[in-house]
This record gives sequence, structure tokens and C-alpha cells, in this order.
Amino acid sequence: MEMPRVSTSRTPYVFLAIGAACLLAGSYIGLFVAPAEQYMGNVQRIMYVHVPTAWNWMIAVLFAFGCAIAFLFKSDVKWDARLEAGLEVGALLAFLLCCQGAIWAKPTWGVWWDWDPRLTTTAVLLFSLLGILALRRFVEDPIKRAIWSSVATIIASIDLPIVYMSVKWWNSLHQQQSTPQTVSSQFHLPLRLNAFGVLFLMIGFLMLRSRIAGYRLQQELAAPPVLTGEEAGELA
Amino acid sequence: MTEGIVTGGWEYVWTAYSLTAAAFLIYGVSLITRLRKERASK
Repeated sequence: MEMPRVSTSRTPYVFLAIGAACLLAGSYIGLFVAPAEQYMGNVQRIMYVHVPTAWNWMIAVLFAFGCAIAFLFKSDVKWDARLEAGLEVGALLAFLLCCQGAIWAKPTWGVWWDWDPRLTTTAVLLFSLLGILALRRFVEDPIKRAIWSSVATIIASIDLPIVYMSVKWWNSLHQQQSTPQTVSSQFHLPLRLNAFGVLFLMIGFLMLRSRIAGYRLQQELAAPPVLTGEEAGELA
Repeated sequence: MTEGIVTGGWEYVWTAYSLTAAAFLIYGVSLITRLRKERASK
């Protein structure tokens, strides 16, 4: 198994800086410049962080799925390092998504949580991602860990299209997907700025997290030190 | 809420934005700290 190479470039920090700048600008416009929505009033401003989180969470899960497939086909551990990053960032975004959704649900639906298809399928995927991350902690052999978590990720990813289509397939309490055609043009700028903001932040996070996993894999896959005759005798 | 229109609600908006900012900030700082530790132990 080839040793993963870990980059030391400053590119992830550039992505983080651009992401933070986009998020700050988008959030400022969303909070103070964009008008309140006709029925939901100011509460609708949560959309500017909730929807970009949802879009990018789906990208993170797709990324993890792609890495799992790539590892199984190429057996290159760099894809396992990327898979670990995708799983952790995906779990973070899914957790954030559920919390933001609950905060939006309380004033609009009257409850923090409802076992509606969209919410339930999202929660299932969040716990699947957490379960795979937990599985990785228990398996010491890096190759077995990579294979098992790749297979588990592919199985868990089956839920992603169900999450996406849930509001169309079932009579869901959750509203249907927002598109530029269904959202007032006055809401487009903060939504797009925050979508790119979360995207750039996510890319920076994925790169940094892959490096952490890469360093750990380097240590795990490193060949045992060659002992001199004297050292071997001492050990014996 | 009056006649199907949500009134007020800024406290929910601030909570959602604060939570999002805190999550990204804490995770970003934790990544940088973990990366430095991994590099140091190499």
C-alpha cells in the first residue's frame, strides 16, 4: 500500500478566508438589507444560512461517496483520508442543518421537531455518518478500516436521493426545494453569497481534515524500524 | 403569530446565525490545532 503524501500548501487557508468573507457579506445583506418575507417575516432570514448549509451538506456526502468508490477501485489510501474528511464535514453540516431547521420550525410550525419525511431521512443520514466515524475509531487495521467504511458510506449514501426527493414523494410538512424561480429576486444575493461562503469554507475544511487523516495514515503504514543486531538481541 | 403571519422572531434568527458562526469557528480552530499536533508528532 502506497504511503499518502500530505501537502503543506496554504491553499486551504485561502479557501477559508474567501469563505468567511462571503459568509460575512451574505449574512450582513441577509440580516440588514434584504426585506422580510411576507408571511414568515424576519424568521425567513434563517433561510440564508439553512439552505446553503443543506446544499453544501449534500455536496459533502456526494464527495464522501465519490471517495469511497475511488478507494474501492484504486486501493489508494489518499482516498481513505479524503473519505474521513468528507464523513466528518458531512456530519458537522448535517448536525448544523438539523439545528437550524429546528430553530426555524419552532416559530413557523409551532414545534422544534416533527418526524416528517425530510427531517427523518436527514436524521437517518446524520446518524449513519456518525456511525461510520465511530466504526473507524474501532478498527485498527488501516486497510480493513478503509474498506469497511467505504462500503458503509456507499450504503449510507443511498439515503441522499431519498432526502432530496422526500418533499416531492410524500406529503411533507417541509416545504419543497427553493429555486431562483420560487424565491423573490431580492433574496438571491444573500443566498448565493452564503452558498459560496459555505462552499469555500467546506473545501478548506475538507483539505485540512484530509491532511490530518493523511498524517495519521503515514504513521500507521510506516514500516517498523530496522533494528541492529545488538538492539534485536536486547529485545529478544 | 397573527392571522397566519409570523411576527417578531429575531431571537430565532440570531440564534441560528450565532450557532452557525460558532460551529464553523470552533471546527476551523479545532482542525488547525489537530493538524499542528499531527505535524509535531510526525
